[in-house]
Amino acid sequence: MRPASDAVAPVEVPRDKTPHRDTDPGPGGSRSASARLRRRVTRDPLAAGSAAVLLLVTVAALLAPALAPYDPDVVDNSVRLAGPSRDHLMGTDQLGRDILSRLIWGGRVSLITAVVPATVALVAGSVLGILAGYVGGWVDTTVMRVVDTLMSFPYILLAMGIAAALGPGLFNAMLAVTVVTIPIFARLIRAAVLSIKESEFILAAQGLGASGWTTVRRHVVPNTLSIMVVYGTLQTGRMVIAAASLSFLGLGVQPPTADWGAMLASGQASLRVAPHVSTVPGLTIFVVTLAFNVLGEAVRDALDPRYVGDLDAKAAA
Amino acid sequence: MSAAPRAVAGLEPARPTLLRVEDLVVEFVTRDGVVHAVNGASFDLGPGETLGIVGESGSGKSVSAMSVTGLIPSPPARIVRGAAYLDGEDLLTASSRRLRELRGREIAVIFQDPMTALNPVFTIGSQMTEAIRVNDRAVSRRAARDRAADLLARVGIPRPRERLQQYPFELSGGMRQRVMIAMAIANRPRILIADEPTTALDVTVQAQILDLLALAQEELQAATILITHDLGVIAELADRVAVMYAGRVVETAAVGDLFDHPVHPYTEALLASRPAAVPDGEDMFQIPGVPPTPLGDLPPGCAFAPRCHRRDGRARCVTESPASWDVAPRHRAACHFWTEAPA
Amino acid sequence: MLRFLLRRVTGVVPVLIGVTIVAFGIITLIPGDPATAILGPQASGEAVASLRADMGLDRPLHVQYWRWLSDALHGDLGTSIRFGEPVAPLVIDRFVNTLWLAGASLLIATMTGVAAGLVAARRAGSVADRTIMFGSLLGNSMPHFWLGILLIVLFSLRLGWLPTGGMFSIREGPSLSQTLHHLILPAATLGIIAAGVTARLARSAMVEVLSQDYIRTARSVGVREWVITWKHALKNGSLPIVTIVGAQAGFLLSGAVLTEIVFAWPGLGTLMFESIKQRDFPVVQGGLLLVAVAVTFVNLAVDLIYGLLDPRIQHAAR
Repeated sequence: MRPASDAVAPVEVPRDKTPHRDTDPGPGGSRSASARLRRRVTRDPLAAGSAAVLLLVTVAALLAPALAPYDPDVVDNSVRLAGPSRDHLMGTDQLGRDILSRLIWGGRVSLITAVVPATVALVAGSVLGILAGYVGGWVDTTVMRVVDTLMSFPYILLAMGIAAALGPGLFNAMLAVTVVTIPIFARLIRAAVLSIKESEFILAAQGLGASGWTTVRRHVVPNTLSIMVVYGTLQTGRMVIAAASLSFLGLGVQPPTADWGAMLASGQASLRVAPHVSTVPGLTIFVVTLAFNVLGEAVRDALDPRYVGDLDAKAAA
Repeated sequence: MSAAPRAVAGLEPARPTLLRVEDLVVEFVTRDGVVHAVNGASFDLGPGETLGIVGESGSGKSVSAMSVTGLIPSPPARIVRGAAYLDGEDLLTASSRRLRELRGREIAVIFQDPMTALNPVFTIGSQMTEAIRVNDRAVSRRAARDRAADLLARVGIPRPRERLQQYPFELSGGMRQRVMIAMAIANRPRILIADEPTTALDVTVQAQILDLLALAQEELQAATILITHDLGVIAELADRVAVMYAGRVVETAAVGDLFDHPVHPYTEALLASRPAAVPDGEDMFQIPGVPPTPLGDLPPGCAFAPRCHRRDGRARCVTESPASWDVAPRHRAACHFWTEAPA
Repeated sequence: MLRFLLRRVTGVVPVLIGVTIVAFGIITLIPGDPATAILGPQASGEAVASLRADMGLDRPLHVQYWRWLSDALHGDLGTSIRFGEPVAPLVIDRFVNTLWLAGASLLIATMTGVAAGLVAARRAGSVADRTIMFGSLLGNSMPHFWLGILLIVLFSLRLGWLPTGGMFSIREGPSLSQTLHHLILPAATLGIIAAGVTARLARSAMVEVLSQDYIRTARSVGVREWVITWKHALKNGSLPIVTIVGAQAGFLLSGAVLTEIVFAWPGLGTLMFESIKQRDFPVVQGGLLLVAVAVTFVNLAVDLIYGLLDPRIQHAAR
């Protein structure tokens, strides 16, 4: 005897299709994002190594006067282009200056010219991106047209143009790099805000919050913050290269100030006899950039990957 | 229902079975540990009959049925032990090539979400003709298109020729599910597996799709495994039912027997938690507690013990895993104290 | 379909206008007077004034801009201060060389990157996957000028297999085979780094596609794995991959500048660099304009191809 097919309540809630919130514990149980990040950095050798590298570079930069074995500007013609030795751990350049000391002092310049423009561009770009994404309409169109225009120019070329027009020097180089990076962040953050906006409105429509707008604001901002941190870290790595590129081209700090890019450039003349003069500073740039990239990825994985992952294709820069 | 019970698990008068799944154990190896999705499930499917597998989300119902198709990605899935006999062949040890041959031709699947189940960049026609020609090389492209149009008509899609040219996004959810059913029956499979076929659909459309499924099954005389959490769907379509909880089959019975004389406490509780089971004005019954999480090691004993109303504090429930008892002809239940079930 | 095309094309116009403004406007950033900057502080007042008149600097800015723009639309980008030659043919000629480099690099990057990304996606989570991704991370983090120098030191100076720079050797003179021979190292430099980015994006696009329900449906119907990868997954994955490849255009041109300088490849990058240093502003303006316009059109082409491949985009644009 079959029972009548009553309108049966399902025994469980149908499969939940709403995207994760940052309040969702995510895989691995109830761990907060910072806890996951800490776990990743301590367990994963690559992430740990990167954190160590950046720490080392920062400390070295801060303690440069105490740490550097030699004065970076002291010329000594008797030991020109010497290979690594006990006196000079990384050898000397074409003017006999100790490469290790120049690396340490150069670290200051590199860190500043990477971190400061990255931060400024991040803040400015995020403001623009949030504005464009949130407000929409003609504000969005205008901002994005300007962004598109600036991004039609190859990054380096535009930076070169601006730096050259303004004149050589540290500040102008930083300014140039900042200006060229702002559109990148603006576009990224706008994309993030748009995708958050979409899903938040769905939730709001389902009557989760009393005031839809307050809920949106309370969710948009924290999620944007996490994306800002991830891409800020990633972009800083690229800016180390960008700043080094400008000084490689002679458009940043001027000699005799030690700078990794400039060291690489001046070492080009001696590639045949003493390649280390160029390759060592280049290696340093590479390692530092790699460290930023690895950490950026670790941060990205630690946070809910669902939001951040989608932006990869749009972020191709 | 007080026929003399036989204490041996599993023995009963032989009936023709098309598919027999024995003691299936499947686990998933994930970053956060091992998930025990299925913990010793056994069921069989006779030719032409509809077996409903019912259970909550996480009960292992999808994984058990789908593991015979080879569609569960492995890694991370791992079939620890068990067998699934189709015509004497164990599908769980068959090569992936063999499984691919069987898919579409002998075993067809109808998935839950019609919105994502069709490839958005190919037309309906091209997807259907592919489904047909992959399983029968001899069919020409034109013949396949004709067959596709005919199938669409039979599943109740108006103007089928037009639809063949259209892309999935141009069809509604209900229509897409019809297309899925058409694709599934295209090669006259002997076994249909319907995984929550109406869950993602509007209530109004659900009834239509269920009717369509019943029709398809009747016409093909295909044996069907119907996976669902919805007892109403079971009541309407199933001949027999297997109730799953925490990766085990806790009760198997003909559908009438199950609803009228449930033996396992979980089944009783499920039936009691239907809104219709409660007179107007009274609170609905809820099974206290939550199902065990499949992640990590399983505690010994019966998985339902923490929530069971029949347990009465008895230790056997948490120390010994219950065997599957023959409580009546073609009615089995995995409970130590099945004799205490209400008559 | 037509409406979609039209909308895309008209959307490009404001960007193009903006590009001309920026290309022209770089000059305005120069503190002080461009003519003095060119001639130096020692120059006489007359010389400066005469140069200013020549350069049209005595007119108001928007007039200068308009003159420059209308000339440009007729193909006249002014005259190079350094060479005394018309800018347009010079810039275009060099740009072609850059295209050789960028093109070869794009080929290398796309082929290795997409293939690597596909392999990594199919074996997601495996050792192969992680190795490929680590390799791409390394490539991604390398400065162009460093990798270039490394390759020069290794393949040119130490092994002597390949030339250190330039587009042809003085002895042999310019020829196709010379160009290709000299193209290998710079294209490898650019290509390796770009492949790093491509592999990553290709992998994530393909992983996304391979996890979709319709892939499972195709399997359930009995379609073979290789058909699933190369027909079902690839067609869906081709959309984001086209975007990725297109987005590489800007990235490649940027990297090309530095690579050209390291390898003394006579392309637009080296021209721009020299012109910037020598204050040859007409060339700078013309070069910037050309590059930006090219990039804009590449992006437009990518958009259009995307629309062609995905029927939903066309449908939605109606």
